[in-house]
Amino acid sequence: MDISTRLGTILYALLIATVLQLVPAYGGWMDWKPNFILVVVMVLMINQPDQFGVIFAASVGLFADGVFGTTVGHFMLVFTLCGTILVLLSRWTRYFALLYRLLVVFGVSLFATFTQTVLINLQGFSIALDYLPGMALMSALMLPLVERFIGVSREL
Amino acid sequence: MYSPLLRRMLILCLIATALMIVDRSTTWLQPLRMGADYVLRPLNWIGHIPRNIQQWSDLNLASKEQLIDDNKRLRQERLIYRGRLQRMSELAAENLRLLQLLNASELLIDSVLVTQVIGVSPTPQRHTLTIDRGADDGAYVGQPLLDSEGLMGQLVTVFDSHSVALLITDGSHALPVKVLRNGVRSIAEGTADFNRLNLRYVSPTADIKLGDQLLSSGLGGRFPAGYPVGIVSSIEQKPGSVFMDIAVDPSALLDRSTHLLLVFTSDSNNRDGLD
Repeated sequence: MDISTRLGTILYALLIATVLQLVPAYGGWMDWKPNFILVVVMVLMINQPDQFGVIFAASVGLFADGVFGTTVGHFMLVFTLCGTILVLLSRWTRYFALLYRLLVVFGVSLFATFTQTVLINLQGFSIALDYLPGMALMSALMLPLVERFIGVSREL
Repeated sequence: MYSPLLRRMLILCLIATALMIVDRSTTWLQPLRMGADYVLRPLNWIGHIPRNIQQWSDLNLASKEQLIDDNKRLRQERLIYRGRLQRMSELAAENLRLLQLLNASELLIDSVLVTQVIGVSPTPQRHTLTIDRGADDGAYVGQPLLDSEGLMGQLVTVFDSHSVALLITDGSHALPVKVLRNGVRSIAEGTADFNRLNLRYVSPTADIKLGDQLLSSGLGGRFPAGYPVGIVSSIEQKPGSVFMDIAVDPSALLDRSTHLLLVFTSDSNNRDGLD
């Protein structure tokens, strides 16, 4: 796959992730809605750590701030921290089997949602933590689909 | 490897923190936010296609029997509400006379504008809605929003043709309320849970009971007085705590209502609303 096709696929994946993120979920379903944009970033960083680094994660985080309507810099900070963790783990994760990659995505998603909650609470707003495991679990379960879509799945 | 990575992370974290501070304390990034909204609007529209299809099918694929039943029910409801309205008119007139006797300030008469929800927050941490009315329709920041059951929230960002409303259950929202039964005042805070508000700083001696109806008190001047906010659902006194822990079930159907009302209070008399 040449660079332009690859770039197109990645942009297309981010676009689809954004649309899916904007699909409304009501009531209890909202607690199970994964962070699709973060999953796309994690898939790219786990599978191609040489090409996608912290700056990429921070840029997509800034874009996510626009999508989520949060304070500018909020998701940039969260994505930067998650990106750093993934780069630090990349020497191992690039060789991981699917199950272990799922666990990594679950752990990082959990960390991301926890960090988001802490940031919001630091601003003086109360927010519950009930939705953390559900959201992280669904984000992890999205991994095989996103990997297959972007064409980086090693199990193909 | 780690040193450049950590340095990069530190710089990016500092930039992100600086952006957060700037965004929270100034309006410098408002044009950026507006631009992002315009860019994302088509994606938002695409994201809401499934819901729009569902709404369309509910409306157009209903059976004849269902439509007849709905029609019958709505006629009955209309009759009941008209009856109540007659009683309300009498009470309103009486209230006006009493206020005049007390030399009370100008009575607020609100007008409303019907609006529809066209988007909801993509994250459970923020309780916001996007509605199809904007500055072109006279909407303004801080304008109260109602559904058929009670107070929903207020507008926080107004664009030309649409607006973003912050719901009363958002973790950053608080509104002054009073108990209908006795007028005890308090502050209802959002909890980021659609089914719960918390009353803050209520002393254990305050006369608040389970099932008490809460209304907006009008203090602070943001929300007009007298709109239903919720019903007290639990009261707890934790050992060692100075205040009671009071939970409130919001009256409005915050995660279900699709047709809402924008309230034009009489102090926003320079703006046009439809009665």
